[in-house]
Amino acid sequence: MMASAANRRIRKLSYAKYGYMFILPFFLVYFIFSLYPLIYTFVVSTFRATGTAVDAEMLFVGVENFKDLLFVESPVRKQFFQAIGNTLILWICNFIPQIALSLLLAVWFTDNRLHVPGKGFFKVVMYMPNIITAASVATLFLSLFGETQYNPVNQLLLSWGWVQEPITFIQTYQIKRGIVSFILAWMWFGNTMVMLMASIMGINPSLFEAAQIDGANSAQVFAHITVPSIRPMLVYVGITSMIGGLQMFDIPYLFNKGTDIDEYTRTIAIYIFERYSGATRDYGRSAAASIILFVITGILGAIVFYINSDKDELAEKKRRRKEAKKLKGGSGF
Amino acid sequence: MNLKKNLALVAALAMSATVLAGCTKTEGNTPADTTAAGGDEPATTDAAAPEDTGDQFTVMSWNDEVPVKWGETVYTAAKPLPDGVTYNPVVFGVGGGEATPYFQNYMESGDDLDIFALEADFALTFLNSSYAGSLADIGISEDEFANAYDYTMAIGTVDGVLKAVSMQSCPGVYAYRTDLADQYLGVKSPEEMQAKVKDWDTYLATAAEVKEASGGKCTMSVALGGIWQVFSAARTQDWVVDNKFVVTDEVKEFLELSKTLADNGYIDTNAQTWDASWYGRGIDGTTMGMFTCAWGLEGCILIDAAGGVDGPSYGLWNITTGPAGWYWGGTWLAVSSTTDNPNLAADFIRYFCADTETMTHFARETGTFVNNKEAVKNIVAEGGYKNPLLGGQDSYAFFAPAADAVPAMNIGEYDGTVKSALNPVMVDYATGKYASIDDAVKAFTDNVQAALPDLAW
Repeated sequence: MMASAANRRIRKLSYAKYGYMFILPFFLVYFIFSLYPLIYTFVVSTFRATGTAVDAEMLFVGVENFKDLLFVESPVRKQFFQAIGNTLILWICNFIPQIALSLLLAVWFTDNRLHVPGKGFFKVVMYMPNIITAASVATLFLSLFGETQYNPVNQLLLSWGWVQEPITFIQTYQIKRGIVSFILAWMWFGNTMVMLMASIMGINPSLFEAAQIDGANSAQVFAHITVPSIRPMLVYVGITSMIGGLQMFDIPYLFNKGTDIDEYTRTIAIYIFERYSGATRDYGRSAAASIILFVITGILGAIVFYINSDKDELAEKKRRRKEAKKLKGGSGF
Repeated sequence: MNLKKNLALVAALAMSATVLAGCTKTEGNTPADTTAAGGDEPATTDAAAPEDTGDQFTVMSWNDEVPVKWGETVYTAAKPLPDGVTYNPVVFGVGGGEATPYFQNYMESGDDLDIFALEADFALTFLNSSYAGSLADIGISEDEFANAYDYTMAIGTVDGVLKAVSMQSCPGVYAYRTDLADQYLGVKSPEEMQAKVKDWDTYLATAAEVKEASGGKCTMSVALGGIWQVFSAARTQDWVVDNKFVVTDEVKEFLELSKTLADNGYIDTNAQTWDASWYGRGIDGTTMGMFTCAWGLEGCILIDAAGGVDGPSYGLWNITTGPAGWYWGGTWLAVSSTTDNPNLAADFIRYFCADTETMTHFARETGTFVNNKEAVKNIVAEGGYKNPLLGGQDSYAFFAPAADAVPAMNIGEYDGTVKSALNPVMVDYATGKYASIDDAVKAFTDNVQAALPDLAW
């Protein structure tokens, strides 16, 4: 009783209001530019434009837009599911090589026994692609991998005599997806590597020393010390990359000629963009697709979070909760 | 605790305020700047049109061609605006295909707008809306454009009301290499060449001849996109009739032709338009020619295919009409329904689209192929335009009959969307991805349905 009275007095003296004042600008901006558009997207997703004129009237249609995208068998649904598939393929194909490469490099660069020379230089060079605007990168690659003897990569291959005919890098969709994935991995592995390195350097060095004294080899050190210690960073990298990947737009969009997107690199974000821009003016389905993307992101985020979270800790929490319940039940006697 | 509640209240108020702001958007169609009366004098004493009240004369486009290069440097230099009126060019710096959302946002904001530029592909999105005014309302009658080419007028007319007029005419051409034509075909003049490409059957026969004479080294043209423009202009029916999508015969004809061209190696299907691969064959002489148009000579396309002014094939080109009369693009001017300077707007449109004298002057200065038969006649009479890129061929004298040959067709509101749906299919069909033409047409129709699900399917 006494403790709680003291607590109350302390709370009265609290300076928390200043804290709230300081965060107020953020929340104002957030409400106006993030939360309101988010809610408005839900509203728009229940409407449908009645024509292609810019001031065409919007009609309320309920959940029709969602039904069209998800359940009614038609080219609309097919295209939307294709977009989801493309997004996942492109993300997985860039994330797995990217995380593997950055993890490997991060371990090498932080290994005390390897002493890689020029660490700073490599770090900067590998981070560099991330600084270039995605738009320039995509356009550059599109021109490099053009399909005639006038485009650089084919020109080289032809002059070396490795191929007889120009390779159709862009018409062959597997290669095209490969190039898009490669660009994404190439742009982001430096960034991921720097974050993983920061995390690895935060591990207590005595753990590594102890492992060495115990005779652990590098694979064992990696599997039993490095990876478990940087797990939070891995979760962070995984989730941010996944959210970014689901919203993937610039590289696949610009790695196309003009505004004609082919069915193999149309991601969900491109689909959403195509629906509302141009002459289709289909705001309703665009908003509905955004909301579906929102839900997918939420679900996948939860799954990644669950897989990567510490199982022991979860079990411990559960046990404690159970015990607390039991105690409560016991006191009822 | 109280503070948290207050915070929530503030947030809720802020949100509802923006919600309300969003709701009132549709009422905002009132003319802007009605309060800005500051010392404006009526520009003219024209009694038919209402008086000019705006202190800004706003011209909007996706790139700087109309508002700056033509409006500011040509128009305002020739005709200073009345005192108290400033010229306000609005430029978004995007491609014409991306202009719609920019235009829409600007129009919905209710900011001052007098004239805006349109491309054929998205013209109806705006001409069908309440933002585009009728030219008759600002005192311009249809008769003033008696000298304009028919097809440009057909595109600017919506439901019998003239809403937009074009400043240029953009007849399409088949540009070919004179040296190669002489070498492989023995052709000496554009007239002889035209006889060799006068329709698609002759075109194919000539392509075979070129292929044989060059030992398979030389194609007849580059990239399929250019050829579609020819077929597209020949369409007599809109894509959508009574809210139903109709695949016209031109699509099948075009797909069949693409396949024939690709199968026989008469075209380079790997080449992408607007890419080095499009121009490369023109530079090293492995193509007889390419499809381009009035704005695609010294401005872009052909100049790149010649390798620039010092390029290896500069001056070796000539132009002919090709297998059909057709047009490619062009810029139309429309007047905003909220214009507060109707007389200035009318004068601006007359200057570039109706007045023979100013248009002749403009053509002389810039080399633009203007949309005025009299002005074109004047230029041709003056000796025309000996185009160095075309080895001295008079492009003006050539364009005059070419523009007359363009069929006067209406554009539909879905043209751009349908074109995007066809583009991937045509390359895939030509390179053999679809087993039959029906599969290709089905894929095309599916693409259109996915893009335009609200038609009757």
